Amino acid sequence: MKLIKHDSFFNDPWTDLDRLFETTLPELYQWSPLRISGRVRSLPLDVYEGDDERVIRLEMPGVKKDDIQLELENAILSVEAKRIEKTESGDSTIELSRSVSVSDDIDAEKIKAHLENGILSISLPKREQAKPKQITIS
Amino acid sequence: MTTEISKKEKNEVRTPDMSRRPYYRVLGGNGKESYTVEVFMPGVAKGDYNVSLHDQELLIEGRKVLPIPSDAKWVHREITIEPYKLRLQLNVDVDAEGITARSEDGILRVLLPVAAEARPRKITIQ
Repeated sequence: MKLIKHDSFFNDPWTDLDRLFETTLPELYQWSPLRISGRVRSLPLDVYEGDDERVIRLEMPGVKKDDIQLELENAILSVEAKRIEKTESGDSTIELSRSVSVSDDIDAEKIKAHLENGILSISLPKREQAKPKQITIS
Repeated sequence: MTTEISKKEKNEVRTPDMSRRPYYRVLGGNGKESYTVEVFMPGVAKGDYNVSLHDQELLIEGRKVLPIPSDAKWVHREITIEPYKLRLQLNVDVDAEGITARSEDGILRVLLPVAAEARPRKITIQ
C-alpha cells in the first residue's frame, strides 16, 4: 500500500519532475541531458565576502565528507561529490558537481572547508596584498 | 492624564507563509512493518526540526539557520532561507507512539511503524 495519500502543495515543479524520472526511468535519466541540468540545480550555492575572505556555501544533503573533492585550478574552484542513496534494490550513487570562478587574489594554501548539516562552507582567504588597507593622510 | 504611551497594540506585520517544500523519498512498505520518509533539509540543525502527526497528516518542519558575519556582503545567492514545510496525508495507519526521527548530513529520516492492526496478516488455510 502506498504510504502517502496526497502531498501538501505544489511548490517546485522541478522536484516532482526529477522524482518522476528517477523512479520511472532511472537508466534513461542517468544519461539524459535532464540529469546534467539536475546536477547543477541540486547544488545551489551562496557567495559572500568579508575583508579577509570570500566564503562559498553549497547545499549538499546526504553527502559524506570523504565523498567530496575540491580542486582549484586557473581560478576555477571545482566541487565534485557523490551521494549514496539506499534503495529497495541496493545502493545508487548520485553524482554532483559545480564549478565556480574565483578571483586570483585567493591564497590557495589557506583554503578551508567545513561540512555541517548538509551545507559545505569553503573559506577562501584573500592574499595579504589583496586586503583593503587603511591609508593614513599625513 | 495617562502615562500609557499607547493603549493599542502595535499592528503586527503579518508575513505570508513563505515555506519551501523539501524534496523527500519514501522507503519501505510492501508488507514491511515500517516506512521511512527521508526529507532533504540542508542547513537545519538537530534542534530545529519539528515532526508531528495529527489526523493522519504528517507535518515535518525545519528551520534553516545560515548566518553570515555582520560585516560581510553578499556576492551571489541561490540558497533559499525559507523554512522547510512538508505535509503528507498518510494512507496507512501508523503507530504514532512509535514514530522516531534522526537527522544526519542535512537529511531527516522519519521512521513510521505501521499500526499493528494495519499490518498484513498471514491467514492460515485450514
